[in-house]
Amino acid sequence: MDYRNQLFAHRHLYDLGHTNGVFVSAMKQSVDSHRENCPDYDRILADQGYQADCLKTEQDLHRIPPIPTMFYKAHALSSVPEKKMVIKATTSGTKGTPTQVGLDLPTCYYGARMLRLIFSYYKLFSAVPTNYIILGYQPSKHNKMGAVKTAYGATFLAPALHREYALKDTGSSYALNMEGIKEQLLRYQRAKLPVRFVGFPAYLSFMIKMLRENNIKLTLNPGSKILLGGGWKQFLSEEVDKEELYQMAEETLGIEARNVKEFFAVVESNVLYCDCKNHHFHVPIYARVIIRDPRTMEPVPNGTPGLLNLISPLVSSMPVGSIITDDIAVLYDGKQCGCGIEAPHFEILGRVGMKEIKTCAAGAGEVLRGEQR
Amino acid sequence: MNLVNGKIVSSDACDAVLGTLNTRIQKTLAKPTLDPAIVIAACDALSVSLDEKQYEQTLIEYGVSAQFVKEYIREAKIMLSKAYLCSKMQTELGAHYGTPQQYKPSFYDGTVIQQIAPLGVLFHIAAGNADGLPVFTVIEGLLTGNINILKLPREEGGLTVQILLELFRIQPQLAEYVYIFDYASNDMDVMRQLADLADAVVVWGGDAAIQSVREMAKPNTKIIEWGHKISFAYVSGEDISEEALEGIAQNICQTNQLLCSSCQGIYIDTEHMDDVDRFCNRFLPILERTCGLFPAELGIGMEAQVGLRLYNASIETVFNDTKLWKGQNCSLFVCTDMALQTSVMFRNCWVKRLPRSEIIGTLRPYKNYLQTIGLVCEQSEMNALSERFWKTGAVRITDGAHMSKMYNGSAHDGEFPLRRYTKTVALERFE
Repeated sequence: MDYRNQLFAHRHLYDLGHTNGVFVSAMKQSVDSHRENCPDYDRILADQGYQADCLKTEQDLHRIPPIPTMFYKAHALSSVPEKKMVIKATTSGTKGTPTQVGLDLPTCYYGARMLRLIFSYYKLFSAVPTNYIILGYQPSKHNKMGAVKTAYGATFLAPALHREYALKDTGSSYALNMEGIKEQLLRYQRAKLPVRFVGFPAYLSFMIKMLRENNIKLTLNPGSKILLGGGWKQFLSEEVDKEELYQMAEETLGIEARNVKEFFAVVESNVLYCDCKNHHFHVPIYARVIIRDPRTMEPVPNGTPGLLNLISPLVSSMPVGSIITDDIAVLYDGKQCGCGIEAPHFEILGRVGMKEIKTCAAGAGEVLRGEQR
Repeated sequence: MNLVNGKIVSSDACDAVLGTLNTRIQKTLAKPTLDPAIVIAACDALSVSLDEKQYEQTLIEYGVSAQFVKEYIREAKIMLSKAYLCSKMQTELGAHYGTPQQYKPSFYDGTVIQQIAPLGVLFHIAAGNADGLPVFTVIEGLLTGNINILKLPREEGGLTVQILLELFRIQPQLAEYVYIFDYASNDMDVMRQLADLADAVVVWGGDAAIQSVREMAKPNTKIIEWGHKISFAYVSGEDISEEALEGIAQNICQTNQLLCSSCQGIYIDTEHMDDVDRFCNRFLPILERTCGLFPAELGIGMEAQVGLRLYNASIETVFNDTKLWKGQNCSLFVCTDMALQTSVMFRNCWVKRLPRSEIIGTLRPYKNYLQTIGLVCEQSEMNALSERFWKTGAVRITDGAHMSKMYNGSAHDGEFPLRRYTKTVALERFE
């Protein structure tokens, strides 16, 4: 019995209650298969004292040793030969070395099923021709960042008439293209067709500020949407406040907050989290989320901040079934949200580390890493 | 925050100031050189009048962690006192720093009057890693009679301006010698303009900051670099006292391994990993005990980072010959390699072997990054080991407990700041 297949065939995105059994079985299958095909992963699990019979119910999911995403930066772990990796991507590497991620065909297949359910749940598919503003990089041969592919991929949710990029490919690097965006936006407005903005929140904020400085106020087609993903803290000095940004988007672009969708994903784990109408990330059937106490690594009760542990059987090409990200997050009971979805939801509070580096030792650390290279 | 002529000015007004800065500076330069006695007297008055209670509160508001506040204020009071500053001037600039020295050099037909003079204009680019640092770098500039343009680090909450305003209230004459601007360091046009006005750029910070100044400054602008450094402890010999090890533990706990002078890790003078393990076995309880004496207050962000890095290290042990000794609120990370590295910080330090014969070869690549070595060894070995460490580029050797302590007259990263901010000028006469 292929439990992953069963899980990804389920029709209700947030029906955690009815999928617990199959989720645990799929995780068990996934972990066992990775152990068999990735000796390094097997060694980690053995060292951490994990045994096959550790995993019986949903309560045992925390016993699968989570691997920090930083670990993958130093060790490329895979469970299938490289020729079977049909999609390759890298993390943005905002904080150092990027991680290589490779996905095999079954992972892509199940990933596509997941996306289909999410996008139809949130009614993001549309047959109306749409103009796009990509608040990120133009795809190119010299950029393998996962975020680029995701943003480009999102332009297929509704047929694309035109795509304009905030960062235009110059052949060897990127140039900021705010003038081009301004021009196209005015043209898009005249065309009266829906417009979709796809990309980083920080860029959206930057773009809106630019429009305001130029006294441009748009009234775009009411079917227009803003699809956001990636960090809110790209530029530490310019932290973007979510509510303020949504407010500005409404004033400047004429797009209401309910038409702003935010996504959260970690390239290592590949599950996509989409925010509900109250802008919360609920946990879909494909994943379970545990928040861990950074001192003990033990799970903490809902409402307590800690390290974000994402669990999913989606990926079969790399042992990323249970990973710990660099994020500090907090998990809430689903009912607290009030949107009607009962699955728990999480909030990202920020990245681990100090807000500003207040240490010369850490500064020297960067130096030494350079020295060793 | 921007400060011009003792007054806080808005960012818009600053742009106008920038246009007239050259004229303003020339006007000040035309006056007689600033007398260090005036600066010292003002600092001393500031030190005496410094209201500890008020500053404790202010420092906490500005984000200095509460556990350091009392110590900071105590140190600041000492460092601003007349006794301290006079002795600093004498140590760094020589006993006759204020008086021109007249003499007839041998093999020369004239009389020379030599004296120490300010470089003129210093452009300080301060780093955000040490609280209160921007104030001291400006005061050192004032002591040597320089005009000081200070670019504040982004994170600076206003402490520098507050203290300097107090200093100008005591001695208004000093106000025209200090300009503070908070332009972003990536505003290259302004940075270049300010550097061009200066005789020297004084840059504090990491490699990136230093590199960008090197690229920005013209060949006729001097660059005075205060870069980030790294420090560690070295333990040699059999007969190691408990007290010496407690000293290392104290430095680790008191500084949380955040300073350039903080102990990041411990090298053991041995070739054998068994000795390293034996050391950990003895040192871990000492470190644990010391942690209990100095409770750490980590924010959630830092706690999460430390927890994550330690957990990652514990997973790494499967793939390399490392071992993690976990204690209560602290840990020792044993590695078989000898490479110098920074620690996870906050009471988590590495332990490696480094036989004395390999000290120079192993540490030479880190030249100019090394600072303090907490040396624990038998008295008779002190000189021989120090000799090796000087050759690696280290500049200070002390015991563990004193690694981050300063003494009056101590050099900063091996150099005297006041000497770097001055020049020796000669007036010659021929009769």
